[in-house]
Amino acid sequence: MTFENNFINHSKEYIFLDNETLLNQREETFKKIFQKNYDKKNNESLKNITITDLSKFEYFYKPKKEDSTISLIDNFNYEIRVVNGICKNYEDDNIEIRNLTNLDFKKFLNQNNNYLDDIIIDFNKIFLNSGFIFNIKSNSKLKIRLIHSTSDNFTIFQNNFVNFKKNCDVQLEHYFNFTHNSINNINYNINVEEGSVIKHNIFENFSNTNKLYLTSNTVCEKSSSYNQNTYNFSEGFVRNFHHALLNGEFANATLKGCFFLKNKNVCSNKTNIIHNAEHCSSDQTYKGILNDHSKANYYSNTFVHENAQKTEGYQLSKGILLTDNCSFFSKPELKIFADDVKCSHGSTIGPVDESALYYLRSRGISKNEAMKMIISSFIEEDLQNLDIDGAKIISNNLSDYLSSLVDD
Amino acid sequence: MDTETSQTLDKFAQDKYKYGFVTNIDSDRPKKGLDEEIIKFISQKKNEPNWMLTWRLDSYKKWLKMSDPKWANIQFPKIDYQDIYYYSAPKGFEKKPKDLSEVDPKLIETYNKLGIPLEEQKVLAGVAVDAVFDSVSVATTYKGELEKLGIVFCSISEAIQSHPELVKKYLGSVIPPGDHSFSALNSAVFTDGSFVYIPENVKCPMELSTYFRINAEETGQFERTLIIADKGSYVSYLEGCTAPQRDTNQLHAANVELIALENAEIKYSTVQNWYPGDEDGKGGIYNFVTKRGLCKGKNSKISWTQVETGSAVTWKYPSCILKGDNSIGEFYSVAITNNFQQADTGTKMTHIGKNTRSKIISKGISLGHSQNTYRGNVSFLRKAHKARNYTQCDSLLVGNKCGAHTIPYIDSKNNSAIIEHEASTSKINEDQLYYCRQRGLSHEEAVSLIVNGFCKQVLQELPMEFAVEAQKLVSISLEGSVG
Repeated sequence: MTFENNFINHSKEYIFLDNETLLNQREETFKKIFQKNYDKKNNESLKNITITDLSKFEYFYKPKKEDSTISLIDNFNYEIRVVNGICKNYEDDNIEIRNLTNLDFKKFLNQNNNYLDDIIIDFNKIFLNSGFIFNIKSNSKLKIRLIHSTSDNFTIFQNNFVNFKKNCDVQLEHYFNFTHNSINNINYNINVEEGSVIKHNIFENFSNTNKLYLTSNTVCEKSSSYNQNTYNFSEGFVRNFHHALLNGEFANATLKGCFFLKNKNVCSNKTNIIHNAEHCSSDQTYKGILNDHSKANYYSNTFVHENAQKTEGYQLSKGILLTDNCSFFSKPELKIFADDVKCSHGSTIGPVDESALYYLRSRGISKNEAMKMIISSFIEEDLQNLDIDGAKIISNNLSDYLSSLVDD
Repeated sequence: MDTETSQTLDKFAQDKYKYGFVTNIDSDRPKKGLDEEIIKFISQKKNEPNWMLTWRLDSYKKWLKMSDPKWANIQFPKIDYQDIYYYSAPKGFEKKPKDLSEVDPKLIETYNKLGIPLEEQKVLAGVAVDAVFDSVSVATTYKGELEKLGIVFCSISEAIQSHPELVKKYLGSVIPPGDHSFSALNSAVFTDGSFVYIPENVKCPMELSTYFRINAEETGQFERTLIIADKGSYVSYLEGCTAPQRDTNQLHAANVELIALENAEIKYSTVQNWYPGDEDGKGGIYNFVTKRGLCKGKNSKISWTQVETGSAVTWKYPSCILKGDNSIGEFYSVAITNNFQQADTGTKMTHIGKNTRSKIISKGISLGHSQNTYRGNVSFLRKAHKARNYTQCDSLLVGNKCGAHTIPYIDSKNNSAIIEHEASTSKINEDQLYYCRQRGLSHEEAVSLIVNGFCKQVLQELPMEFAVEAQKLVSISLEGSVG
């Protein structure tokens, strides 16, 4: 199905059909992409990606409401299942969650994320068919497990709003459970209010017929802390784009991730942090292991406004190439307009350290085993934020990945 | 800092851009604008063979189809290519003077003002100079001595006459005319520049040097430099640039090609001090330079060192193509921007051969309202086994109206290659400043001292004569914006 046909034939299934302004916006965005008028410089991170996957696809979206569940494991421990983009409407003392309705158009009218200028977000705007609003109330201390399930052949274009009210302390675990042939373009707008501390762990692991385009746009208010970790073990295509805006003093944002690629898999990562207030700190670190014919790229950017003095911003990208046929591209960018800052970036790409391998081998450890030890230690520091369940998942995924490494 | 140094600083501080004088010489120039007629005119003035004219016209046709590259982080009004003189020569230069006595004494005076050792007897250290004034090469010193060794050091227009086979073989082999619009423009209208050929197993005994100067108003300078180092040879080449102070912007689009064959080494140093415009950002040179070196043979080495203090807009990426196995590419750069200057500079290292190594040290200093960008590309192709790169780029910000940006592109397609990149951005260390102030240095002196220390890693790569000049330049560039 062509891009144009998809837009014309399936527009009835999208939300906000009754709002003229939004429909016009949608039309404009469609025209922009259709006529290829989008800014290529801002979208260079999509260089290796076949954009046609997101325009020429078989559109399919027929969700059933009854599948989605919310279960309370104990008073402070939630499991929320979002099935085919739909969640169960629910409210209690700690949280409030409901699906977007046509009455929520104001949220979209006021949405000003043009500075993100990313074509994946544009596709999300055009085909938007689901979304939810999720509020976490003040002073709550919670653990939330959020599971996105998508059935066969579904195309999900989802825009979600998550609002952490003042002084909450939340650990958010994000899982993706896809079956076959699904396209998932999921956009999160996260607002972290004053004094909140958020740990956000994202586990990406699904089979190779599925595609995930995950975008998050986080605004951090005064003295808040947002800590994100993505773990990508999936055999399907993943595009991570995470953006954080530090809007209040003493805020802190960390965007970290690691990815493990094999076969012909491709993975695209982009992180972006804007410092808009004094005394903020940020950290962007991505690590990747590439095997077989896989390809990855990582674009990071730290932007410091002239009023954001006393900023500390760090970036790091590390890649290990296991074969001659994989490739890794990184572009760590710094744009700084304030003088009293400490900013740095580092980037390394290379093979597994030969001398470390030799050291282990000379002590009687097989090559395969030694490789496993070295690679495990490579991501060890990223596992610090995880609790015991999370660590178990990573550990299992890692041994799956490593078992496919060549034997000697 | 001793009194002598601060006196020197004061002296430089007073006259700021001391090269801003204009030499009143009748110059011979055709009408403004660019078309095939002008190219034919230039070619005819230089008495060029037919193949050269065809090459120029082909490049011109390519240029017509191209638009200016847009990716750099610089802003300037669109260049009106029809409002520029493409050829300007001091009158009476149809035939090149045979020795210095035939040259217009006013020209000699100009070069003496610039401090170029044109007259051989005055030369102390032995620097062979080829001086380019607007569009023509004025004189080349030390020619005789170099000839004995078989070294060819002359202007490119002379080389087209005397060594057509070398020019034909190598011109455009590293920077094809169709690479981007500035290279196409330069290929079409280049007027002069230097040509160097070092024969097999010859170590050039002296530093070769070129001085470029734009004198005439509304003139573009398009020089072309071609350096070929044959097997086992060595050459060190210096380039300096100045221009008079004018309110209008002038265009400078040069192409420099280096070719190092087996075991050869080329060291190329630049001190660029084009007129940067005044405090309000009026006037100044637009500097769009393409510099590229090809390490063609095994074990060859190309090293770029640059000190960039001038130009209103700098767009410059001296790069290395490491084709031969075990070849080495190096890039050392200091870029200082003040007032409303904009610089987008960096390098490109393309590793093709096995065991190739590259090293990048870049120091950026931004002051006033300037924007300073480092843009680098390091790529390892599939066959670059065991290749190695180390990149370090540091930025220093003075004041909160300026910007410092670092945009590296890092691409690896080989799993035995190792890339390391690190960068930092910070302001001048308060502790160091306090230490210097405590010892009686003025704020300005202290800043100048710290900045010089910050750049030392690069400045020490420069040949002796340039290192002193570069250090002074660094101090002058800081003038008026600290304290």
